[in-house]
Amino acid sequence: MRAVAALAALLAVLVAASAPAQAHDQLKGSDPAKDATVGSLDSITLTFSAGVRFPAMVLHDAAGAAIPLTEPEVQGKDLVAGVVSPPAPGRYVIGWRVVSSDGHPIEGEIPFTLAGSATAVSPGTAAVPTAGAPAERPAGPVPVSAPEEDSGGGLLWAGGALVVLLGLGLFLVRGRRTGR
Amino acid sequence: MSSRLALSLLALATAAAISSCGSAETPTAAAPVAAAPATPAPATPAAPALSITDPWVKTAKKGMTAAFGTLVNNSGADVTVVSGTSPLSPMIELHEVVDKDGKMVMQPKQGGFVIPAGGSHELKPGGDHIMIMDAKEAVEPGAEIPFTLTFADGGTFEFTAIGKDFAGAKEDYQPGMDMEDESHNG
Amino acid sequence: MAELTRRGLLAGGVVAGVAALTPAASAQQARAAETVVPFHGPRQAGVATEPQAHAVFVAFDLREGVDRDALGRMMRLLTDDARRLTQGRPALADTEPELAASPARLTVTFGFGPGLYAHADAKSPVKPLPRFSVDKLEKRWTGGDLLVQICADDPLTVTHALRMIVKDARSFATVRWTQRGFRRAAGTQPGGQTQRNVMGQLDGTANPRPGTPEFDLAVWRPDGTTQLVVRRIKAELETWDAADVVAREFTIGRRLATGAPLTGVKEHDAPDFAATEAHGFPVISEYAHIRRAHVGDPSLRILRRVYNYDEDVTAQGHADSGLVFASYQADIERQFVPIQRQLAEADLLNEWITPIGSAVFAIPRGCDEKGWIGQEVLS
Repeated sequence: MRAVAALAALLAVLVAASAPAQAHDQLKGSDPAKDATVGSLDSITLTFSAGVRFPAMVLHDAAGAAIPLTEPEVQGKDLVAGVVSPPAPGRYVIGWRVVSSDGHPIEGEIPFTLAGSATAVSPGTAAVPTAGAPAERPAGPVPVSAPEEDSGGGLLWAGGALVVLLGLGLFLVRGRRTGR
Repeated sequence: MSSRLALSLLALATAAAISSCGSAETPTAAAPVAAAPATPAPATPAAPALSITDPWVKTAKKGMTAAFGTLVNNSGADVTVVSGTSPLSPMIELHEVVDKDGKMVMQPKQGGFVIPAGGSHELKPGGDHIMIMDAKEAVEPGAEIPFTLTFADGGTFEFTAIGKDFAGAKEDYQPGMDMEDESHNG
Repeated sequence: MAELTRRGLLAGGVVAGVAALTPAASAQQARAAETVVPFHGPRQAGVATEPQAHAVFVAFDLREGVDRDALGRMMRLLTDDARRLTQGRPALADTEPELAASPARLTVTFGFGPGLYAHADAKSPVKPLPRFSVDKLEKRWTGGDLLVQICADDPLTVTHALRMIVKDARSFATVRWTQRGFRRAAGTQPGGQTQRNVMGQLDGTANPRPGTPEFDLAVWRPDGTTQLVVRRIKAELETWDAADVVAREFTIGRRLATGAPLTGVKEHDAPDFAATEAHGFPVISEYAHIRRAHVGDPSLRILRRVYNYDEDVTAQGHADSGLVFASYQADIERQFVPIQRQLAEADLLNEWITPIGSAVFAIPRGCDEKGWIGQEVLS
C-alpha cells in the first residue's frame, strides 16, 4: 500500500515535471511517415501542431552519411525540405530540430525505408514508441542532453524515461532557484 | 576706456591661454594659488600677489548681475579692493548683503573688500559680490568676462570670470526678475 | 566588543546599514564613497572604467542657433562640472556642494551625436544606425545631439551630477531622453566578474578585457576617441517567464547557472560552434544568441557596458524592464552594425527582447587640466 502511494507521488512529480513539455508544439505526422516504406523520395514534409521556427533538418542513410536537402521551409504548420537528388534505395533517418512557438527547442528522428530491389526492407529495428521522441542514440552520455531529452515526446515516453525526467525536473528546480 | 578695454582683453587672452576655462582649476582649497587662472597683470608690477579661484558671473540678458569667486591674498600684507571695472558695464560696484530690520538688502561695501594677509575673501551669492549694475550686453553661459580690480594703493588685478546659469542670488539685486527668461540660447 | 558585534549582527537583520556601526565596515564604506576615477587623460573615463553600479544616460537636443562658439562655451562649462564633481569637489556655483563629497567612482562621459556636428558645421564620424527588422523604436528613446553618461557607485552622486550637468546644458539644449540604469550594488560581487541582467543571463562574458591589446584595438581609435551605441532593449519578461530552462539555454547557447557555453563547463570556456549532438545538429544552435553575436576577429568585437532598467510595474503587474544597452567600439559601422544585422536576422533571443530606442554618439578624446572635452572638434 505504501508502495502504491509512493508510486502515485512519484507519478505526480513526474506529471508536474513534464507539464511544461505539454505546452510545446509537437510533431503530428510526416511524409515519409515513421517506419514507412516509400517508393520514391522527392521531398520531406513534417507537420507540427503549430507553426514552428528556426527549422533544421538532416537526412542520413544507414551508414550515417548525410544526403543533401534544400533549406527547410516553414509553410504554415508544415516544414518542407526538398531532396536534392534521388537517393538509392535503403534505410534512412530524418533528423529534425525546430523551435516551438513557445521558444522551446524540439527535435526527433524519423526512420523510414526507401523501397528498391537492391535493399532488403527490415523495418522495426529503429522503432520508437511515439513520433518526435528521440530514437536510437549512443549509449554513452551526450554532452548536451537537456534539449533532446525534453523533446515533446509526451507522457508515454516520459514514463519510459523516468530517471532522465526526474533528473531534468531536479535540474529545472535548481536552475530556477539559482536564477533568482 | 579704450586702452583699459584693450588691457582687459589682453589679460583675457593671457588668462585663456593659461586656463581654457575662465574658472580656476584648483585641486583643493588648501592650495588655491597653484592653478589660479589669472595672475597679477604684468603691466602693474606693484600689484600684490592676489589671485582668485572659481570666478564666475551669473548669466543675464542685460542690466544687473554679479560676479563671484574667492579672492586669495598670497602676500604678507592686507589687500583692500576698492573698485572694479569690466568692459561688460560702465558701472561696477563692490557690494555686501546685510540684515536690515530682518530684511536682507545689498549696499555698497564701505571701504571695499579687505583680503587679509595670507588669507582669502569669498564673494558669493547672499554675501559680498562684485555688482554689475548695467550690463551692456548679455552674459552668456560659458562666456569669459574680464574684470579688473583696483586696490587702495592704486594697483590693479585682472581676472576672467565665466558666465554661469544660476537661479539664486536674486533676492538682493534683481528683485522681481523672472529667472526662467534669463537663460540664453547660446 | 564581542557583545557589540553580536548585537550589530542581530540588528543587521532588521536595520539595513547598521553594519556601519562597526568601525571596519564604516571605514570601508567611507573608502568606497571617496574612490575617485581620474578625469583627465587622453581618453575619456567611463568607457574602460569597470562599470559602476548606477548610471544615467541623458541625451540632449541642441537649441536652434547653437553654433560652434556656443557649443564651445557649453562644453567648457560641462567639462568644468565633470572635472570637479568626479574628483569629489563641488561644481562651480554648486547649490548642493555637500553632495559632491562622495564621488563614489563617478565618471561623466560626453558623446556627440550627428546633430551636434551639424550644428558645429563639422563632419560627423557617426551616423544613425540602419533600421533593423527587429526594431520597434520609439522617438522618446531615440537619437540625440549630445549625450552625457553619468556613472557612479552611489545613486545620489549620480543624481547630483545629473542635476549640475542639466542645469549647465539647458541654456543650449533641451533634454531629449533620460535613461537610468543599474547593475549590482557595489560590493555585491567582486569587480571584474560578469554580472547578470534582468533576464537572469550573465551579460558581457565575451567582452574584451580592459588593459589588453585586444581591448585597445576593439574600443579605441588611435586619436583616443571611440564610438557609442545606446539602445533601449525591452525584455519581454512575461513570455520569458514561460520559457523553461531548456528553451532559455538553447536560446542563449549558454548554461544559465554558470554562463558556460553549452559545449563547455566554465563561463569563459570558448564555445565550440562546430560541436554537434546526436542528430548531427550543432549543440549551440545556428540561431543561438552567442553564435549570432560571436565575432572571431578580436579587433571587431564590441565592449558591452550594459545597465538594467526597471521602471514602474503596470496595474496588471507586468514589468517594464530591460537593458540600457551601451556598447563602445572603435567603429560602429565595422563592428556594431554587422553584429546587430546578424542578430536581427535570426537570433532566438529576439522572441523576448525588443529594441525600443537607439542612438549613436562619437566619444571625443579626453582632455588635460587646461583643456575641455570636444576642444579638438569645436575650436
